[in-house]
Amino acid sequence: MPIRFPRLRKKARVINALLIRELMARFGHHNIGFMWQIIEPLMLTLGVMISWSFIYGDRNHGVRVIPLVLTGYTFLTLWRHMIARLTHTFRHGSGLLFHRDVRPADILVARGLLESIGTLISFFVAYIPLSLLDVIEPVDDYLVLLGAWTLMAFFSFGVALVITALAHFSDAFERIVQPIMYLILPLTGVFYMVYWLPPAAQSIVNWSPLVNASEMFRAGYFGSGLPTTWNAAYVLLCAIAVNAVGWVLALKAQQHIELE
Amino acid sequence: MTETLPDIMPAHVPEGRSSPRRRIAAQGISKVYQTPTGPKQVLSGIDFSIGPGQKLAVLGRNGAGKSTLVKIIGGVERPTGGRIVRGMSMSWPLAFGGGFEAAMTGYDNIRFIARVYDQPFKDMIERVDDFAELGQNLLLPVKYYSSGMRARLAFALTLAIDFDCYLIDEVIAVGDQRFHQRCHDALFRDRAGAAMILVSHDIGIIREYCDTALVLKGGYGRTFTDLELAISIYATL
Repeated sequence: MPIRFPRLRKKARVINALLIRELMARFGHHNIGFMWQIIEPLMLTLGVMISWSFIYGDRNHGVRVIPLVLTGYTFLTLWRHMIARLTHTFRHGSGLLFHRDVRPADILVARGLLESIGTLISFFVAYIPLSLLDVIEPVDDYLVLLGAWTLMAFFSFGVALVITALAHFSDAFERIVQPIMYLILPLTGVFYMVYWLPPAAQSIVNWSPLVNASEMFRAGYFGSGLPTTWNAAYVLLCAIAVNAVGWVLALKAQQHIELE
Repeated sequence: MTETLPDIMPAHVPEGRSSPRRRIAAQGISKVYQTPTGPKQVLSGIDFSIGPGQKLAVLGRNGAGKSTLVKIIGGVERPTGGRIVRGMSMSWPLAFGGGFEAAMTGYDNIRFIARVYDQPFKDMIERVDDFAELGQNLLLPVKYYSSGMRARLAFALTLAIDFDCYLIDEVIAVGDQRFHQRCHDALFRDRAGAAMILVSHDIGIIREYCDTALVLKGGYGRTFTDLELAISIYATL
């Protein structure tokens, strides 16, 4: 379907060019190229699968360990990579800005898309052989699973925008991003299921949009056999909120870009 | 966005019909940088306007604000006050290689520019290769290029697209003698009909090709149509 709005078509063209450029720059033509985008998270997931299998055995709190890790770590990778890759955009991409049609916002969108899609593919690259080998059970509900992924990508992108813009304004903030990211790991919900927790802890983590999204993702994967608590509307609302704040900040930061 | 007119207009509009819209103009451009020692006014109330085929020289000592002006005209940085009107298509700063991705091959860098500016690949690659004479080197990542090769690629890329106006920032001195001559021919002979904004210390080139001059001093600017007067004022700065 052809897009008719000229401005939108120009944006689409520029973002497409940036996507390809990002891929080429990161992985090149040689060896396996784009596959690295998929293999990087895959190696982490597989490594954790093996070590958790040793630590917990086949099941943890009655949930099979391998799918637990698969759903958790791909999700965590999406969150971490989205933020890490976007943070320096305003600094590194600056030479590109002499091409007037390329705005920093386009670079942000291109990177966000690449991370969201790349990590999702890596999930399926791990999932397909494991499920064919009957190591893990098949996905129960694709709609819920992919819905959770989309919400998570949207939310992470918003948070990444806020961080990117604030890091542009304050070097101090940039330095505390890493510790903060590490400290909020428990609030991502990837290491546990909410129903394992005592009720008091449950009522706290249920406020985290990340926990909601990861529970939803697992609900899509495991189906109704596993008790999950999530609210898609809440995640969507949080995602819209952080994106709104993020875009305002990013557009403000965009006006303050100064080249050497 | 401060522009009211579209950024890119069709490249081939019949010449000689210069409508008032077909201009590149700066209107009251000022720029203030926030520095650790307080705000620094780099440009104050710069005005100029050029139409199709006109060539404007920008003169000024180091630190007069030339590079800042180029960045603002080029659309990389936003002015603190005033606006730039772009009624003609304008190149990025000529031979500017800062947008190259070092890990990508020459070909991929060409393809990237072709995508952004909506040019056919084949045509673009032919034109670039023809001018830059990099041959097989285009298959190598740009990080292996010598600075001369990079400059040739950058120059060829700008010239491979037909712009109405070229923005030239002190680059006529790239490459060896032969390439130098070819750049000169490509710009001033083959594209004699294009408008140009030329930032240069080379009085010879300015005297030969420009018809207007903007003299910058301490962030203030004045446009002269009497080129000799502008050059003599520049000499006394």
